[in-house]
Amino acid sequence: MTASGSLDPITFEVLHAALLSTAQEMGAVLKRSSYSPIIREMEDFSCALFDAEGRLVVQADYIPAQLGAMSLVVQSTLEQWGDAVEPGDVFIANHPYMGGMHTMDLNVFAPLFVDGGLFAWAGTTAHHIDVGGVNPGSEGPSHRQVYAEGLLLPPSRLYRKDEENPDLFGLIEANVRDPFATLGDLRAQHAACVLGKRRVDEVVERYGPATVRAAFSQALDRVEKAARVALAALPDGEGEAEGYMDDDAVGGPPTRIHARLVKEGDHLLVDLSGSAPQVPGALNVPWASTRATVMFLVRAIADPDLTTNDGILRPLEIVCPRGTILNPHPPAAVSVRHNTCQRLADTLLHAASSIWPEKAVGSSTVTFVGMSIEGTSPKTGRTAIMTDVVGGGTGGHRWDDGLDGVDTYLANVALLPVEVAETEYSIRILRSELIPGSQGLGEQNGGLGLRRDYQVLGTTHTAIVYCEQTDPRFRPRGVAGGGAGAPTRLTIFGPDGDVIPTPSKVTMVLEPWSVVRVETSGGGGYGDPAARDPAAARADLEDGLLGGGERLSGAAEP
Amino acid sequence: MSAATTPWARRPEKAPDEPPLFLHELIAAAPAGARVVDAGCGPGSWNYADRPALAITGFDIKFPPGPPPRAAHVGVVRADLARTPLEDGAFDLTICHYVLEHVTELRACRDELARITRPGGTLYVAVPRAAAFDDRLYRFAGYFAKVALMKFGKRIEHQQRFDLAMLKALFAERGLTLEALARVPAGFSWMNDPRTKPLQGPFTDAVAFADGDATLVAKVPTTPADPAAGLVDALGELVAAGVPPEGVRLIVHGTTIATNALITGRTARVVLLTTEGFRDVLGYRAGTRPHLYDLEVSRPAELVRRRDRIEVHERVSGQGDVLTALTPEEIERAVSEVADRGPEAVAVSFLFSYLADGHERAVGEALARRLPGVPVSLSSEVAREFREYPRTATTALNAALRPVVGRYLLRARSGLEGIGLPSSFLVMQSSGGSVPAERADREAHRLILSGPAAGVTGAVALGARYGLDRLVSLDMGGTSLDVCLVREGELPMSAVQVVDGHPILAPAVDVVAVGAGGGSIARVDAAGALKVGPQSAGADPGPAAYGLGGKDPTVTDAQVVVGALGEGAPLAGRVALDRAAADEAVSMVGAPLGLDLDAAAEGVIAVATAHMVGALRRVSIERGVDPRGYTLAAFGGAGPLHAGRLLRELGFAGVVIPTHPGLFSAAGLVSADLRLDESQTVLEVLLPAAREGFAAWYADAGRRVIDRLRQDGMPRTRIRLLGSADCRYLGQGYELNVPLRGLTERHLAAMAPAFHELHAATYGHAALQDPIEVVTLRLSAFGAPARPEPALIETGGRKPGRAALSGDRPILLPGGRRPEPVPVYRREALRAGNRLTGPAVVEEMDSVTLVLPGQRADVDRFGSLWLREERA
Repeated sequence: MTASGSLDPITFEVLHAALLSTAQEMGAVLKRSSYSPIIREMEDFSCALFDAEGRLVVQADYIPAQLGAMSLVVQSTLEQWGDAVEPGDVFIANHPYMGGMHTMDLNVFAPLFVDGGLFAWAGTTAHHIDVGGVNPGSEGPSHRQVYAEGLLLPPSRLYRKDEENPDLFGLIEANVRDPFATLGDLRAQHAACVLGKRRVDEVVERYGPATVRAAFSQALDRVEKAARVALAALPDGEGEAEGYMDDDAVGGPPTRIHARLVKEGDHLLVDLSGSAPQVPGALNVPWASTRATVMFLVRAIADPDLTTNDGILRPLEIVCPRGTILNPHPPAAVSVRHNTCQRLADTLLHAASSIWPEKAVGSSTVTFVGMSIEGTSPKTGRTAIMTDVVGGGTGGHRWDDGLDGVDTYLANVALLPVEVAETEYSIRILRSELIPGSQGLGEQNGGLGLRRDYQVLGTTHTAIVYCEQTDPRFRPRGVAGGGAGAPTRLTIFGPDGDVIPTPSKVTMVLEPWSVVRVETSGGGGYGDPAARDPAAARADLEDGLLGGGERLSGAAEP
Repeated sequence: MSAATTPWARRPEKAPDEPPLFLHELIAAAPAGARVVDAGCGPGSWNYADRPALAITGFDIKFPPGPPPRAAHVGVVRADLARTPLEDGAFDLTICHYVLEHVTELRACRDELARITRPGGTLYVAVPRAAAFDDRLYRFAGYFAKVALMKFGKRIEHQQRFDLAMLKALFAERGLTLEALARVPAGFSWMNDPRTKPLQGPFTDAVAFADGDATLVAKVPTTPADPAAGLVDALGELVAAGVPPEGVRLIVHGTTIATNALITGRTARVVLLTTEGFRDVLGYRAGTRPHLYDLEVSRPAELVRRRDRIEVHERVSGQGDVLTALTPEEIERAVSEVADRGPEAVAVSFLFSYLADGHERAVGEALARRLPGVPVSLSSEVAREFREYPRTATTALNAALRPVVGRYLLRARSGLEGIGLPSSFLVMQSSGGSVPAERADREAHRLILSGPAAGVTGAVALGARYGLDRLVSLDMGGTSLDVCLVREGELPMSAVQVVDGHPILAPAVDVVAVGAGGGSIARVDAAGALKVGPQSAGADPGPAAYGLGGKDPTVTDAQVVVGALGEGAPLAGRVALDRAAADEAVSMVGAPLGLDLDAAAEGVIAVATAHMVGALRRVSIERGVDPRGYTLAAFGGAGPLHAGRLLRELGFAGVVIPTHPGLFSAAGLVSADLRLDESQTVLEVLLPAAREGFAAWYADAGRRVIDRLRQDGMPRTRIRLLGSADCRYLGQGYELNVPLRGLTERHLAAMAPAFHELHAATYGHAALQDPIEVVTLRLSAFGAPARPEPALIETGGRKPGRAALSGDRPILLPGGRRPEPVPVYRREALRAGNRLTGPAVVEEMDSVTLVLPGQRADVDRFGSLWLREERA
């Protein structure tokens, strides 16, 4: 270490590699030993290390929606417990108004002490299949208060002196629908934290606490600098965009999201104050999620390979008044905040496109069909909740067509394999196919949307399905003269095959043999369709990608 | 890189009548006598050796000085691209490969390129795209201008940034319009992807062993135009060196033919039959994007085009019951549709066929009758495992590779016969086992990762020789580092791998590959951080010290600067290393960091070591083991150089360095057993009643595999069966593979306790009360061919003989302030029993070993070096 307290670049890089590798090892442990498919198959979790003040130092990359997550939770733990934090404590928290995201994201994190003093934290956050509440899966667009969304946990000790706290385990067990999976996953999260602590201990033993502390602080400076350099490389400018949610989640009017970006030098102002006031339904976004979405924007426009820690926030100024949908007052419900985050991401990128047209990208679908169907597993006879996230098209861009049938923007969740769904749940998937003609046309086309038909078998099932972009006005936009993607459609067929009229966000009981059909949007096109490479246009026809007459006009949208 | 050996790019949907698009295609297709110019040829970036009939002119503004260009250049001039002395329309083919991004007078250069190319001729242009993540190729009308945009962390300052609009405008000004666009699969980085490393090896290695006798070695250039020729050439060299063809008992072959075909898109045209409603399983894949933050990512290449994916009216339930029967009429319709398309191979993948394969078999039989000679791959035969996307992809991949692999092996067999060698040989699989060449095409999807598997197989044999049951294998070459953890002589396997974006269900040696090789490039990023890798200078141009035109500082250059690699070290067959070039390159990272040359070099090595330590940690943590107590087997050209540092960082029990570390992978082939694998997804709760059914499957499968091995000529006494089962707690999504001690019901009773134990060992917790689900049963059969005994070296005293010491060299050792003299030994002159005390350097033809202060190296009777810490 030099006199100024900063490490030489070699020592820093070696230490940083060790810390990053620790976060990745934690992820490997968590992923491989978890029970919930949403963790293991969908990688809806994160692992990270924090300094003593709760600043995020390194995070293993799994899902953008949790970028920078947890530092607010660790900080609120410090506020609440301060000096009462002791060695051997392991905390759990999920409260959306105490740094959490939504209630299903359970944070488990452990303080690490060196020479009797608090030195660092190792933490994990993972989306659990259910944390109780009114609905199976705990989500519900029509929830009006966070109290409906399951067990609320302020920072609490899940372990004391490295022993399970039976009171809390008992409380959780009594409140969730699938305690077997939930408790198993919590133990996996704990195992990951224990590993993280052990690795940091080893590093401290070898290099000494002062050096490691300096590495923490330098890691934050390094990411800050990288973000500033990347921002400075973009031309200065100002732009804005708006986007809408189909409704307010309880049948009301569309909800506006607005973003204004001002880039000057190495600084970026993100002004979200033009967004709608908080809504009665569960589309509200807790602050941690809004922040994660802005971090996503910075990585997408400035440097996709930027590593993430709290240093990335330093060149940013985010203006987002309390009481708006993006920073609500408690106890507004937040469980389906992901839909709003996706729309926010799209709106931010659209604003960025107006400043940097050479980087403009057609809109990806933000439909985010979330679905939970509660039934009985044919294998175990136990209650089983099937969740699936059906992706759609991503936007065309200057280099290529968009991707077909994938998750977009802030998440990258895999589709549930048919052969898993029909083995584990009383569900049959009748078809799973791309929708020709759903893509926005352009010089580079958007990607195709996806059609999936789910038939419930045997008994009645409770289903929660919600999606966006069923309103054609809000379908994925094209850019640079490209056309828009088709809107999303949700259709429910009764046992007799008749269509049961339903809104786009619905909780309902399905009779046996009912079918839920989900058709997601395609992505927006890029550039003038007339300029499309003739060979590519010919291939579109030969591969049957253009569909019949039912597609909407491919005209460019503003 | 060389045109001929590099997997240049996938070319999707190329119709037979389309003109060549890629550079190597252009070169190959150019008529004899065509006039070709390599504008900005540098030291000769492309290898034209396989087209000697072409008259290739090269010029470069910086040329000479510099090493001579490739022999294929017939004339070289020094010229500025903006104003060449060449005549109008002088060339049929103009190549401008990674030049335009460096020029200051872009338009003048563009004009010259257009001017010197004859009207109707071909102009090839390759440039890196700014912030690129993939490669792209453009064809312009009038001329064919090829623009390959690649992601490559060049430090050289670029004068120009290119994107599509700009290029179109640039060429439009000379009347050229964009006519076609092709692309390379997303996420595919052929320079960096460790999995493609074997493709960058421009040589074919052959090693001959005889009982107790010295090994013979041959190295010949790879022959991409006819890959089988390289194999025959290499073996021919051995014959010429004195190997009697009639005395050869065993030939084992590791090949990249399948990998190469996959990555270059030279696979067969396949028609795929799927269950009605599911034709797009290969279209949306897993439903995920290849990159989280890059919104301009390329579409992944498709194994089977949508027009060639045909739906069949049939359906089986998740419980294996037929819901919609497959009628003869429907079979007839589907088979006719297939026939209309005239495919080279057919893949059939129906839902739940791992439970009930009747429909697939019925279609398969009908196809065989209707299309004799066209290979048909059924998913229920290729991979009887659940999850439709990976199973369908594996089946399609198998079909797409079968004709390619089949043709190759046929040529290779006749080539071997031609030089008097036995035409039956074994081919290495990804699993570390081999398969007879006669039926390797049917297992084509199992050949893709045979490269990394060979080295690990050698390490396992090494472990067996020394009775080591806990071993970490470390294979470090120019581009990457392959690490593998071996316990009790068993190779760790993974049941699925992803290659070029495609999941493949086939057992593969579970090797962790990191982009940390000798060629890994060091750079200082915009935020002032020192980064090493994963970009690699590869073998060509290679490190700056190779003097082949590489300018980027690499780990090898850092080793030259600190002195660990001497200037005279004949590394990688080079005559000498260029110390001055290494100094200059490394100072490029030293200057911005404010470090002197030595400190910068030591820093580059330290950061590279940190990446290696991370990789070694990850392989161990994923198996719940601590590397302390394990022995490191270090090989590959660069492995022995870093072994001492890793010994110190991770506290291994010791390091063993075999003889000929650089050829160890080739040598490892001979230790591979014949191997057959079967699997069956069952998804059943592990109750006593279920064991009977499991035992019956193992018995049936055992009979099948033993029969096949005996048909391969393997006596029953040399056949060994190994059963295992993928298990999980009911409700978990990832399985652990539980090895079985035997295959009877009694042995199966031990499955539950073994799973609990394995879960606890792997993850630190077990749930003894929870039900266990058996997901997939697996059976592997091994047949051990007779192998030659290893040769022994002469015995000497504790102190190495005088002849072994070749002198002293100043080396900056880790933690040291200035270089100090370190004795340098010649490995071939060391004798069994010799002990070297660190610091010391051991040099041999293909590698250099560095023994750190406080460490010692002992030589054993096989010639292996054993590194240990003195205090241990």
